[in-house]
Amino acid sequence: MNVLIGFVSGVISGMGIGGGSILIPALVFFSHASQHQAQAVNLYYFIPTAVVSLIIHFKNRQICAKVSVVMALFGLIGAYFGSSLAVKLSDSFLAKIFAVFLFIVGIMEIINAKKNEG
Amino acid sequence: MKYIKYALCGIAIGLVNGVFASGGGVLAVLFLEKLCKLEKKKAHASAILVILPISIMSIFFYTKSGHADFSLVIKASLGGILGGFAGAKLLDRLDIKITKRIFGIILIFAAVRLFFR
Repeated sequence: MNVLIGFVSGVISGMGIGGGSILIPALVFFSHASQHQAQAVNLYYFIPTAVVSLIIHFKNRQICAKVSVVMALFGLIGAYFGSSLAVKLSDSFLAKIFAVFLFIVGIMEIINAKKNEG
Repeated sequence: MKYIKYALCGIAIGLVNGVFASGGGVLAVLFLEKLCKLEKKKAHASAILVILPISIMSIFFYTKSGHADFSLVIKASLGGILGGFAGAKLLDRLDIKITKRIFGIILIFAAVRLFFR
C-alpha cells in the first residue's frame, strides 16, 4: 500500500505538477501516518529524485545558478524557522493549517490550468 | 537591489517548505518565472537547486524530533522513483491541462476531508 501511494505520487511528480502535495494527505488517510510523519516522508522522498534531476539539469545547462544559490542560502534561514515551528505544533493543528494550504494549492492548479488555455 | 528580492523570495520559500514540508517547489517555480523572468524549463530546473538544501535543513529538524518513520520512507520512496519514470513517460501522452484540473479537484477534496477529520 505504501509503495503504491509512493508510486502514484511519483507519477504526478514526474509530470511536474507537485506530487508532494498529494503524497502527504494520502499517507495520512491510507497509511494512518501522523501529519508530522507524512511530512517527514515527503522531505526524504524528494532527495534521491532531486539529486538525479539536478545532475541531468546541470549537464544540460538548465540551472540559473546565481539566482538559485542566493534563494537557497536565504531559504535555509526560512527553513530553520519554519521547521522548528512545525515540529512544535500539535499534530492536529498542523493538519488543519496544512489542509488550508492544500486547498489554496488546489485552487492555484485549477487557475493555472485555465491560464494555459488562453 | 535585485538580490534583496531573491533573498526575500528565498526566506518565503524556506518558511513555507519548513512548515508544510511541501509547496516550496511550486513557490520557487512561481518566483523564478514571474520575478526572475526565467523561462519555464529553467525555472523548474533551478527550483530543485533552491529546494534541495532547504529540504535537508528541514529533514534535520523533523528527524531530531522523532517524526521520521524509516520503513514508511523507504517504501514510499521506492514507489516514488518507479512512479517518477512512469510519469515522465506519460507526460507526452496526457493532456496536461485536464490532468492539472483533475489534480486540483483531488487536492481540494483531500483538503476538505483533512480539515474536517
